[in-house]
Amino acid sequence: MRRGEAAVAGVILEHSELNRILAHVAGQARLWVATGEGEEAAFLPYRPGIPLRRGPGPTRRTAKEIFFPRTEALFTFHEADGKPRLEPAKVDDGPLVVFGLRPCDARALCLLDPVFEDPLWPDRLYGGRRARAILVGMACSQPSRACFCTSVGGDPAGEEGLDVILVALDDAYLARATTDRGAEWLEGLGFSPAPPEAEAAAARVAETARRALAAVPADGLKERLDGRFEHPVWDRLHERCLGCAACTYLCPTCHCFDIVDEGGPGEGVRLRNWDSCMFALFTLHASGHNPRMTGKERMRQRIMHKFNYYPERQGRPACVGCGRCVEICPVNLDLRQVIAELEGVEA
Amino acid sequence: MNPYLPHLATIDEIIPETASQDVKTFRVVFADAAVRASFSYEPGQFAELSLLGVGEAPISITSSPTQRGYLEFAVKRAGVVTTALHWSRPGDHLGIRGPYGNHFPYREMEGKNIVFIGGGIGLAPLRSLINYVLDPSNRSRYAAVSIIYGARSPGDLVFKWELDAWQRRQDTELHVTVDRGDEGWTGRVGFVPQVLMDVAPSPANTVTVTCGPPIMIKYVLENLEKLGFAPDQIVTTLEMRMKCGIGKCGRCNIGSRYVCQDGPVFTYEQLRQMPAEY
Repeated sequence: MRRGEAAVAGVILEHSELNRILAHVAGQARLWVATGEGEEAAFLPYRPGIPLRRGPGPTRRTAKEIFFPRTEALFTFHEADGKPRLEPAKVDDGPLVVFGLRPCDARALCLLDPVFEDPLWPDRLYGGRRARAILVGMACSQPSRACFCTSVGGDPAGEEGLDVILVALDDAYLARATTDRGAEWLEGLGFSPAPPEAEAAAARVAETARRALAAVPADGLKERLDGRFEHPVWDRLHERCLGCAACTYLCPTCHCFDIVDEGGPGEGVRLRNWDSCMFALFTLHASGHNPRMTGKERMRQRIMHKFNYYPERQGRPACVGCGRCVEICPVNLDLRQVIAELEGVEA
Repeated sequence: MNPYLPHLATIDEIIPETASQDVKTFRVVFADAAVRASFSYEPGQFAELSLLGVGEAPISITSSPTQRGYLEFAVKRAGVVTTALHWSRPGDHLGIRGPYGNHFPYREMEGKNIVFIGGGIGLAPLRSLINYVLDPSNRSRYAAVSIIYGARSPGDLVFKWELDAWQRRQDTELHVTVDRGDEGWTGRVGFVPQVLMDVAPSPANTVTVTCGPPIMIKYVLENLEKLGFAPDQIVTTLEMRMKCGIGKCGRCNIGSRYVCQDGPVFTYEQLRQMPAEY
């Protein structure tokens, strides 16, 4: 998605107008909105009167779930006259709008794209949903206590992956298209141009949010981790970890999955379900051999994949600093502290 | 496309390999004539085999691309899918998707001597390349071919029906060994790495291709180094737990590599650059 010519001038959207607009959008596309607060905050299909989320930081559950659901059918099968027949899952590529995701979640989708849409084996189940999706983001005016997006290349008002970005001002939103597709979408809704002071107010909101963010020493982490696979730091980082994998389930960039059959023989479905490298069974061979025997190897895998292996392939870390893993961890194993500890890793 | 949708195939023949029948070779034929014609693969690639309602497992293709019209998979009974597969009969249906992964560097090996070193079911992926190289249309492009193959006992040897054919060839040297013989065994007794030292192939203009249990690989690698082989002259193929086979599900990740796409074939030189997590 590219920034278009039209994507410069902002428009003003009154708070009171929002529900009317969303109802209009829901008539044209499948619309997901950020709703709920605290631990309940998630994306749900729009319905009239659904409370839009206001709280700090990102939703507890990710926008990833819209494109890569926790469980989804790959195909169904049934046997007729002794012969199996396969029915591939329908590619869902209709118009789709996601409203209210934070810039970190939009960036996370950009990090998932090369995994699911690599040229050799494009995954149309994911790609179909992505193809026509319009992502309408809500800039972070107040980060959560666990947020650290600016330390890993993000920004509370970051535009990457978004088609439209909204900034909450006192009594209105400043809406700005960041792609041609977003501009077209926004134009169709018909708003008044924003006065110059709205832009300045939006810039102040972003700056306030930036100042509220903790800095985590993630610069150069990829290089520091090169060749550190056997470093003693791994012996202690995992010690508190229970292996519950909640961090990976809430992570907007984690993409590991399992493939299982349900039903059958005769009739059933092949599903893909989220899985996690933090589980002992994840890499267990049928022979009984397991290359990642203990929590040490599994914690190392999670950290190395995000901060060394993924960057090696894609040029940047697979972490957007959303802080969800920090918030959810039952033993307060804080990724920011892990990163800080890795800063001290000597060559 | 939906990359998870398998092609349907029918089991044509099931060949029991080991005495305990814990390894069987399945010869399968695609149901769709168009798939039969278009499915092409290279030695060393694998496929996801599935039984509908049971699940999928990644299995190396043991037939050679020079064998037309069918695929062969040698499957050891180990987990849920392979156990169910062992219960199937000729005429039963399978799902197959693939081929996946890289392949043995058979073009780069042209003009060279090849030493195959296999242990147990580890012969299965090597066999695809062996029969490719031994095929009359390809044999002249390769120099001397020798095969060192061993198993725990005579009953654990696989492809015995083919070992005899390889043995009879003038252009191939075959050394079969077992860890422990039995009353009927008149062949060689000894571990594969020791037989390798006895055979002592010269590293000059030679590539070795090895696959077998981890303990065998460990000593084979040590002994190849003693014989003067450089790490880039040693090729092996890794086994990892996999689900998708197409670099997405995350399971076979080792360092920045995915065994399903960047492997399963690696040189020892490449393996030494990777974390030893396999």
